[in-house]
Amino acid sequence: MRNRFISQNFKLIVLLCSLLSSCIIFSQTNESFKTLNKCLLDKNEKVFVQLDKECYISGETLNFSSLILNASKLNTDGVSEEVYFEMVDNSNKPVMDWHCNAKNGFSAGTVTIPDSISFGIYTFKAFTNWMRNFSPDLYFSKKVIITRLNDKTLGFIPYSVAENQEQLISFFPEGGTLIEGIESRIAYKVNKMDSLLINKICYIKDNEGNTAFQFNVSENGVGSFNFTPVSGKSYNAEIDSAANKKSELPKASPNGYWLKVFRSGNSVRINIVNKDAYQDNEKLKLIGTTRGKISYDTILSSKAKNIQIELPLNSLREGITEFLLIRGNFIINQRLFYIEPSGTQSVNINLPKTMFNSGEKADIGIDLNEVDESSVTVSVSEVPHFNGFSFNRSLLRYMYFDSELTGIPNAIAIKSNLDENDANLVLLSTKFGQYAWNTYQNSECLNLKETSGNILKGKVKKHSSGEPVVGSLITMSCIDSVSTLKYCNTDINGTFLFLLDDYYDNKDIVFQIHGYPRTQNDIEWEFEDKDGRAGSSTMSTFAFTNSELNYISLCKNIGLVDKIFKVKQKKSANKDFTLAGSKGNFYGKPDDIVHPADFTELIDFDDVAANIVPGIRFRSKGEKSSMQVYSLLKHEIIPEEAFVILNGIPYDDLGYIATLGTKLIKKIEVSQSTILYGDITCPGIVSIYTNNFKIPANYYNSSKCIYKNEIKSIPFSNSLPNDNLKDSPDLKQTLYWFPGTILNKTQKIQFATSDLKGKYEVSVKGVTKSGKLIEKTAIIEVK
Amino acid sequence: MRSIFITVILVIATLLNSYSQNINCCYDSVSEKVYEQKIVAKLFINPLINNNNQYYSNWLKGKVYLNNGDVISNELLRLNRYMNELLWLRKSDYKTGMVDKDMVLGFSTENPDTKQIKKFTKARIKNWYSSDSIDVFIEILAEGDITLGIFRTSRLNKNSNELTLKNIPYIIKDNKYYNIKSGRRGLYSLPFIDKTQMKSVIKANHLKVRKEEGMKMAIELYNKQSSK
Repeated sequence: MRNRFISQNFKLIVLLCSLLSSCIIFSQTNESFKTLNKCLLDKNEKVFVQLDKECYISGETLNFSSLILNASKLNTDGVSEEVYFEMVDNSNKPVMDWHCNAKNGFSAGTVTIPDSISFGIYTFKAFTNWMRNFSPDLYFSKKVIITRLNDKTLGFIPYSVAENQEQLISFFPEGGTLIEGIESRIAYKVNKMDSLLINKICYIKDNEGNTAFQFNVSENGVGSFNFTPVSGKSYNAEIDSAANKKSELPKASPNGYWLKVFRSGNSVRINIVNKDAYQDNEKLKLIGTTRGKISYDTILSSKAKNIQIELPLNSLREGITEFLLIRGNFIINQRLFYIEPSGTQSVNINLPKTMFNSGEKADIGIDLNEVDESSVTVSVSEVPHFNGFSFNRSLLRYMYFDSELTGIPNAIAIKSNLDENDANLVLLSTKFGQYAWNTYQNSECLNLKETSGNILKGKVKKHSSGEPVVGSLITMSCIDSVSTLKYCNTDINGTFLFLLDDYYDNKDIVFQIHGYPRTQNDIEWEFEDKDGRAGSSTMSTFAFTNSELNYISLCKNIGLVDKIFKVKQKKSANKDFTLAGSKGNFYGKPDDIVHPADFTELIDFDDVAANIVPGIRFRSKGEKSSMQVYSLLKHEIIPEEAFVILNGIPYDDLGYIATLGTKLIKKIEVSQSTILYGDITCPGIVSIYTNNFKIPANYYNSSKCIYKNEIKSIPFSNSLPNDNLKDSPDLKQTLYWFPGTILNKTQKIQFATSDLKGKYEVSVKGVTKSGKLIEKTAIIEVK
Repeated sequence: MRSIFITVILVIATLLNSYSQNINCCYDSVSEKVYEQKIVAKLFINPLINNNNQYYSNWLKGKVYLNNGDVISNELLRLNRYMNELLWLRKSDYKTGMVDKDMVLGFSTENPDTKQIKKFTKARIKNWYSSDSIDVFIEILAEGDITLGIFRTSRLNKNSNELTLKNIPYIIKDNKYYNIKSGRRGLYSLPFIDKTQMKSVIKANHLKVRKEEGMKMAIELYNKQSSK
């Protein structure tokens, strides 16, 4: 009967099973999609770094402060708390690297530039572990010059640049398309700008050699012109003095869509022209996104010939809005539009005067218009001397503008002729040039966001075969007066991950792999190096101007004077290794604590255990020793070997423990229960602390590894060197440097000008607790 | 034949679909692994074997709130009311541990069927039978300006080996714990409770304050009225 039922309803049963499976699969897909989306939705972060100078001498200290912001919201919500820095040379080889803790996105510190670094242009990079999921082009990057006192200053030095354009001039039609018969605004950029080309005439010639248009090359080689391509013609450009270098204009299409975006008072106008383009029912969509968030979204009629849209300016977010005209699944036009940020925290710098004498004390007031706790860097330093390195100096400009275009060789910004501040003509080449936000689509988010400390990733493998060690227990601990054990199991790749909070700053961390004999020497440890993924680049030469060369010489002379007069510089106040132990034991309160010094002298641990530590049973017979704990709950000896800790480190060499007598031992703690710590079972714990707080050097074999966790950040303070020797010249180039927190609406800063005459920039940059960016600069002069 | 063929195609299509699902991005699980705190517990030695009355509930999934502000989620927990200890069932080997009370601020459990969440907080109270204060877990029934908690405990009759369950109500105000008797008099006895207001709340809502549910409702309504 049952068989008959099954056979009659076989198809129905199978169909139901299929549907059920599909439902389960669909829900699984949804879950994995949600998980994947979370990675992308968290978006990227941006880091902005301020340095105290542009030019350093090897051996000198470099003061830095950094700010991490959520790339979309431009506030400090949910940002990483670890930031990584790297200095690479002109061949992209790292010469220095370090990392810092960041609190509420803000960090500051001091590093010493190694004496070995020779003269050159170096790229200073900053990024977070989360940013490593995305293109390295999005890391903060800034050029600095480092020179050595005894190095010759060269006028031309090798310098890495983005790939050279093939053409002398690149052209960028607005919206990305040129349509025959329609006047379009075309931006141009001379790729290898030379002073000889300034004001030269550039001729736009058709394929018959006729000049269709001409314009004068601007001073910086960037500009725009209006041009109407004629049907059936192609165009190229040649500059008067470089006639042999022709540059092709993008080819005009006979039909298609044309997009124009421009500002009109307090509105943004968008014109879309459809010249004999698709006449079907495919959906046409216009989307505007600003830093990943949709600010405008509408569906248009694909048959309309001419569409005009007017948006209030305040309906778009400040910064760069990317307008995309999409047909079906294809992007047809792309236009970036920039709105200058205005709603930032306004701050005033109150200068009593702008001219100061050398050695004069200056009192400058800083007023925050809205009272809000702010993390800022206040600095008074020489005005920039290197024109080629002027980018990435302004916080607002970097966050709202430059960082959005970073790493895109085809992006240029053209200021409107009408308004000096209105850089609203930001154009990209067509084919959806790599606008930063488009690169997020394929990110896999393999690097975790470090919101509570540095995530250390390591790998264990067998040295002989190279095979990963899978599923093994790895413990992490530090030599300390408390035992702060953490553990992790290796995955199928032999990888393990640990979170290093600030307790582990500047500590030597001991990693141990368990389940291997002590004599095991076949284990190899690798720790992830969070580098800036420098990558390759092409080389060019950078030519210093005479004034820049003179400035470098001045810096060298100042360095020499400082060295002669032996100006003491305050070293960075790195956290010293402390035995105080700011954490409690991982196993909680011990049941018994014994201080052997309180008792008569006992020679070895056998005697110690037998006489003064009643909770443990220690037996030593020749080379074999065992340690067991008496359970208070069960009133019997726990049969398994106790978990032994020596000076905070899990320690399995009982032979050494056996040699310890009361003279060497400071304290013994015993937990007389079986402790369950996560997935680990400790059949009683015996924690021994010796007077010298050391682990015998011969304990470390390949199954153990010491990792030095160096952190450079210092608590916020004015970290400038202030103690000059008497009668020595004061040639400070940075007069004031304060990275820290401002609590009050009005803050006064006091500093003394140095003997170095010239212009100095007073700068206040940072972010308020509520997430508003602060930036203000003022110029003073020392005569 | 044709129908069997169609059916087979359907099955294959479903299987292929399932095979192609690629649950990518282990980000969340890796992130959880790195940031998750570990529970520390002593191996539980059952003092009253075969006496399930010592437990307040069955094993339920819940959260443990640590002193340092961290929260450990998705662990199997239950309260042993006889020992007043939080028990934890380790998923890897089903060993039971007594969670170290010194490291914990409280815990909560969720009933998967009723979705009811029960919250327990660690409190320092003075037991009537001892001169010292002790840390106990108190179940919070109503929260607000005045909080109602119940200390779930039990006493063992050594002769009969039976447990007598006791639920002792506490009123919590400004972090101070006041042991009261169930019923109206217990509530009225507290100086910071407006007797008139409480009376009207109980009367208007016909509340049976001798029972936990009634007391809970009374405190909730009283808090609501007081906040207006």
